[in-house]
Amino acid sequence: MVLKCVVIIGFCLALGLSYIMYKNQAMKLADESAQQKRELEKLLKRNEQLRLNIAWLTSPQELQRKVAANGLVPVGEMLVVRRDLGTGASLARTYSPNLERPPR
Amino acid sequence: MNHRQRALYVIVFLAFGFTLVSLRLVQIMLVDHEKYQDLAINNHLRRIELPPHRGAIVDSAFNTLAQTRIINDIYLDCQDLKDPEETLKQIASILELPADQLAKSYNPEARYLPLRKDVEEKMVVALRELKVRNLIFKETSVRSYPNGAHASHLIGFLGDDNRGASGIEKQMNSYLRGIPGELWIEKDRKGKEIAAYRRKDLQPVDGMQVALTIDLSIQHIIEDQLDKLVQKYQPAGAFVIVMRPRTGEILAMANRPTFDPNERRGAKPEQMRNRCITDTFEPGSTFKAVSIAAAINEGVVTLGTPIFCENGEFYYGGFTLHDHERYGMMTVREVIAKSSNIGTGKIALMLGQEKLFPYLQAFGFGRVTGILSRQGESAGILRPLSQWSKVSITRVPMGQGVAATPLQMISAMSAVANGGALMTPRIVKQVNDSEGRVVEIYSPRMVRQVIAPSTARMMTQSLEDVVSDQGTAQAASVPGFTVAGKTGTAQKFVNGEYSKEKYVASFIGYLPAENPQFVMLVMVDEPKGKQYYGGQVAAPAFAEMSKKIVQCLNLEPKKETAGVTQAKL
Repeated sequence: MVLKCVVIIGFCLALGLSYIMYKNQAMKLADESAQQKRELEKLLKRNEQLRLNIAWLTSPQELQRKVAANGLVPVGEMLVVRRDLGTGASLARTYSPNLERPPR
Repeated sequence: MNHRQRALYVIVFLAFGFTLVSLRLVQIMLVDHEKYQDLAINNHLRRIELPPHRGAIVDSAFNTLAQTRIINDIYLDCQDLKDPEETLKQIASILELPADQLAKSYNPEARYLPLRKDVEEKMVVALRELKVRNLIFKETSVRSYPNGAHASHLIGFLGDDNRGASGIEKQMNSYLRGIPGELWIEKDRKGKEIAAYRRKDLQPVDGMQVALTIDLSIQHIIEDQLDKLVQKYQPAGAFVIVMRPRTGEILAMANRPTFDPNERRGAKPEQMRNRCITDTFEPGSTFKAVSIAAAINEGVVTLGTPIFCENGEFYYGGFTLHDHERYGMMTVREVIAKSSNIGTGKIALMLGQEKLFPYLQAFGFGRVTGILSRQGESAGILRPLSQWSKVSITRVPMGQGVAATPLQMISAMSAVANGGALMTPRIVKQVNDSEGRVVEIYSPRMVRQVIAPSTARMMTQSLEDVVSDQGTAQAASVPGFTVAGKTGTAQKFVNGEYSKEKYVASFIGYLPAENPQFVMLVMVDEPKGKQYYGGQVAAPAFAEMSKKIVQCLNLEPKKETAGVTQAKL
């Protein structure tokens, strides 16, 4: 009788403990998952911010400002070059046959 | 009272007590179940609204034109702030503020003291590391336009309620705004979320990305040139539109005066109006292309038909029509090249107003294009035939007594360039969802075939003459390309008469004439100074811009053209 009681109590105890253990594990995983999600949101937000920064930095006005600030010469009238190769792709518009000009 | 009686009383008392408790339990658990459940839920459940991210607006090459960014504003709850002197010093050093400034504004009673707005992310991280519970971090989303005033009238801006107030922001608001989500979380006694008990997790659907037909490089070219035009002529307004004739795509559109949507607080309403679609002008001689195209299409004249131009003065309907030079006999082709008012009037007389009017309607005059709905687009003025006077037939064909928006004018010229097919002008190319999948593609739409392709070819031939040394717009020529176009110099109608001081100078042209890749309208309203003809003011600007646009579009110049170097590689 006593043995039976001990076995039953032991079983209940084991059941209870494993329930608590799994419950704790589930809570911990949920916390971790929420944390990861928050991190992901932060990264996405940062990504958006960077994308916008790139857009600002590559906007024509900003490029023009940088050209002026760095003392560069804006690309002006370019000599247009044409090659007679039938259906070939159009040529590099920036090509200049003027060899006195330093290459860009 | 014996034991039994006392026991009975106790039992009855207990039974009564239990009954009362049971009744209360029944009331709580069955009758008022929902009420108490709601109370319990509200006590530790919290609903968080998850705002969607407004979609971006991009150009045809997916360069960002408008995007939402999150800014961090920092506030301080001054009540119960531990060691204020030291804490404020630390906060000030992180926020790069003068320490005394923060100390001066510090008020121990204030619950919401603004410290700094639009704080950088690294500062936010540093502040969080301070672990000062009194700091309040507030995130706000603001719309950012990286290209400033470029295409600002087209892109538009948001109102104070974060809804599109004008331009594409308004037109495509339903796509851009997204759908908000919601999150129901359970809190512990410290108010921290118990993630495992998260109830409802409905993530927001971010707004879609709207891709426009605009080409940012071309937009920059025309904005740059418009600035130069404004600087040179100090006009009341100036407009440039670039359109792809085959598809009706607007490649660029710019207005002066303009505004920067990032700093629109000080902008005046007249700066924010997209005059390319809201304002109407008498088109002047550019309209002759439309009228003569109608006459050719009806077989009334051909390019070689001789027209006597009355040596510069033509009396008709009680009024005298003048030319700026004394022209005699000219062919229709020369009439266009020299922009003869009398020649055009006489061609229109040969055609008749009953035949001319349907053509003007077919070219889109008197009707809105629908490019930006509910944004004040004007239909222009095309009076019904019943309201035409006797002289209207000689005035309307040369662009007097009729008014059109710059967009209507370029659409009509695009039809000529496009073999006679009038296309719906369009600005939106496609809509993508936040994952980059294409949701909707806006295909080119033909409104109608206005003139026959053969007529359009003839018109192009004669419009090429306009840009030759025989025509009025030699300054519009672009080395390596054949340009077709028409100048316009319209007197403004002021106080009931045509002004001799206020003009609208314009040029609409396309190239390469044999296979038009773009049509461009340049219009300058009231240029100041001695030059006011379309050929003097608008045509050179057209050439300047076209030289750069052909490079952007990678168009190949013709062989053996002056000013063009050829090389065999």
